[in-house]
Amino acid sequence: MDNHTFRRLWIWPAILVASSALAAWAVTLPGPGLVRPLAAFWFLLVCPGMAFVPLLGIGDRLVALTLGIALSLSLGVLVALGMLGLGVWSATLGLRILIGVSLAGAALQLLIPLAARATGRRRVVEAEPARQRGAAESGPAPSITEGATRQ
Amino acid sequence: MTHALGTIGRRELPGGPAGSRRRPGLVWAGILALLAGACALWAFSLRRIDLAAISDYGLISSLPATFLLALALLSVSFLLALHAERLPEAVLLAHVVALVLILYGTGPLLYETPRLSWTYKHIGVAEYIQRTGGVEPSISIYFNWPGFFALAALFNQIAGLDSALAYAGWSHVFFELAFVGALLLLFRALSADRRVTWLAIWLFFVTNWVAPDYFAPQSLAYLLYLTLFGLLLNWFKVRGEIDEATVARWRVPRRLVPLAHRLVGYPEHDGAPNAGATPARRVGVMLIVIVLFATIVATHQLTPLVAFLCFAMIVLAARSRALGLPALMAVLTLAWYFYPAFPYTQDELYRFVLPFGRIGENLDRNLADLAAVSDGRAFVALTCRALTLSVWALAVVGAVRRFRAGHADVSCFALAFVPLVLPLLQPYEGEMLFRVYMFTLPFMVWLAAAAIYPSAATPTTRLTTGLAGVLCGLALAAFLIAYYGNERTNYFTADELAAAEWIYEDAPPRSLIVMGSFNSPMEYRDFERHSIVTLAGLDEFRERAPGPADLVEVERVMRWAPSSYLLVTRSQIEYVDLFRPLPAGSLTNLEEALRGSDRFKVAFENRDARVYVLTEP
Repeated sequence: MDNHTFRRLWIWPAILVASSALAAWAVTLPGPGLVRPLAAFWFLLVCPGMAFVPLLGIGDRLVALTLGIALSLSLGVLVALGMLGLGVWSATLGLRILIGVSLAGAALQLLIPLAARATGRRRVVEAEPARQRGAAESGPAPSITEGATRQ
Repeated sequence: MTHALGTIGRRELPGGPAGSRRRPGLVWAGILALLAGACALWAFSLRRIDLAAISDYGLISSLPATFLLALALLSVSFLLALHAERLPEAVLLAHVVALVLILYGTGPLLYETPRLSWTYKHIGVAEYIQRTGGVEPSISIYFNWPGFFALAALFNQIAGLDSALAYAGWSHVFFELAFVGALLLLFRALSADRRVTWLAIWLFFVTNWVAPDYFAPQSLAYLLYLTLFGLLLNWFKVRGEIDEATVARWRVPRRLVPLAHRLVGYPEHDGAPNAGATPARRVGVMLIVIVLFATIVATHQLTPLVAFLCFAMIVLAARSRALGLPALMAVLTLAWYFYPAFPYTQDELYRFVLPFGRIGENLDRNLADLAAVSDGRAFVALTCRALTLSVWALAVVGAVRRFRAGHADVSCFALAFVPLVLPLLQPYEGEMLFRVYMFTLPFMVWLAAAAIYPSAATPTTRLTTGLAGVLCGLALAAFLIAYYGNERTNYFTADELAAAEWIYEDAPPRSLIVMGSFNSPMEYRDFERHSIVTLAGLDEFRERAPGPADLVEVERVMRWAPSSYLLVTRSQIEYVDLFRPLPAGSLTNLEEALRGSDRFKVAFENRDARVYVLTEP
């Protein structure tokens, strides 16, 4: 895995984990201040959506971010409505659910390419004897990891 | 990855540039200098705008020449950037961001409080949810579609804010900036020609005078609407021609197959193929589409109906592979109307169904009587109409030119023209034409841009550049009048808000708040605790000025509740003078009478607001 691919694989999971931690800490601060609203704004606006959007492999960062914002707002609405509907309105609970969603997405962003990479290696190993037999025709093995992590 | 969604800052797209072939470095430097100059001039202009000088013609009457010069420089810079060779798209994006900040950020930067009276009501609904942790559908229609308010309440609580009052004024900038990405997603699905894409984005912001961008459910629903169709057009479109054999498989009567084929068997728009649309990713995108649509359904009553109508038409025209989605849209929409929103549906269904087909009446309720308003207001209203009709007319020209160039943009046509049937169904409290314009606008401006560049093969010439410049300039001039035309009434001073705050601090629960007109910064807190009536809304005062003889009537109204307050503000007086729900000057005359009466006394006053109470409660 080259540096570029490695960075792309980890960047959003790292941002999501850091943002979740920041939001969880900021909500304990007394009063609104400046940090708490900014942390809440960033987290609710970007994180739940960007937990999943990178899985779609959209090349344009602006479009991906817009989609992430739209999905974040949607997930925020659905979580808030769920709490209203069930009569369990609580900002802390809502934040916890959204942090859980964000971390689950972050985990998926890491696991899916890694799983694909492992599967790819196994396929390459299994195909190796056949490849050696017909090396002239088969050419280089496709990099499934690269394909799976392309964004 | 190489697909339709491109990459800002790196990618060269077709339809590029033919002009500026010499010394591109010099052209780039010139473009960036113009952009920086425009931003600096705008910043310089802000301090020179005198809000007290706003006339009936709106904010444009108090804008300094440097503000207009900033917009002119920015427009020239954008047109140069649009046609410059190998210029990164990030520069075009920077121009659009600057345009959004100038056009939509000027208000929030100038005003001490959020714009538009409805904003305050929406802040109040969110504050109710935040305070009580529930909704009460019987109080207001808003609680039947509470998605936006629930999100705002959740954010307020997590952020440690008492309400959205501190940030709601910036919604205009937030939503307009968010629209940029959504439009890029949409327009790249329609064409790979970057001239059309960016010209259409520019045109959107200089013609978006209805502006679904304030702190409101419609703004959120609109952002999701644009994103949803961006996803559907990119990932689920049917490309290429449909042959007769395919049409025959749709169980069309055999004799009608050739006709059906002529109607649908043409190549769709020329957006670049989305090579990333693998089956697994399509499943993911479809899940996101469903989440977005479910949110729209829970957020706004009209938007899901429009989305359903448009997408059903796209599927009927065989232009999407998401064949089951219209059925799911219908089920989700009806389920919401008949379960969570049932209190509203039950009471209002007849009012909803009654206007079906009464297009004359519905249109009448959507068009202001220009004879009954001030000259300035009439001019602003005429400008709005002219801008609307011009955009639509140009879109028709664009559609024809695209068709003649070999493209039939069926999905775009559906999204641009299907919402035009809405006035047949509903007047929507006199706002349906606004909504129609809003829903159709992105697709109309795309077709308008395509009128200049109907295909990627259309060369960039001085004529096309000149036409684009004239179009942008005229639209911008009309926009400044149309969008900021009612600014005398749309902004509120800190003094007006202070008067409202005094009432909320002083008033016991179940008080009655009487106002001259509804145009005040009220209901942003304690939404359910007090009742509000307006003199303009009472039959007693309809079409005649309340004078000294009417104080008895005002007192009678104020005795409806044990505790009453009469609030008269600067913006109410401006509203009455501009829109004439009461004869011009009514509220000023009424105040003179109130001050001369021993039955009323001033309980609170400042420069822009007075609160009157009864001397003998």
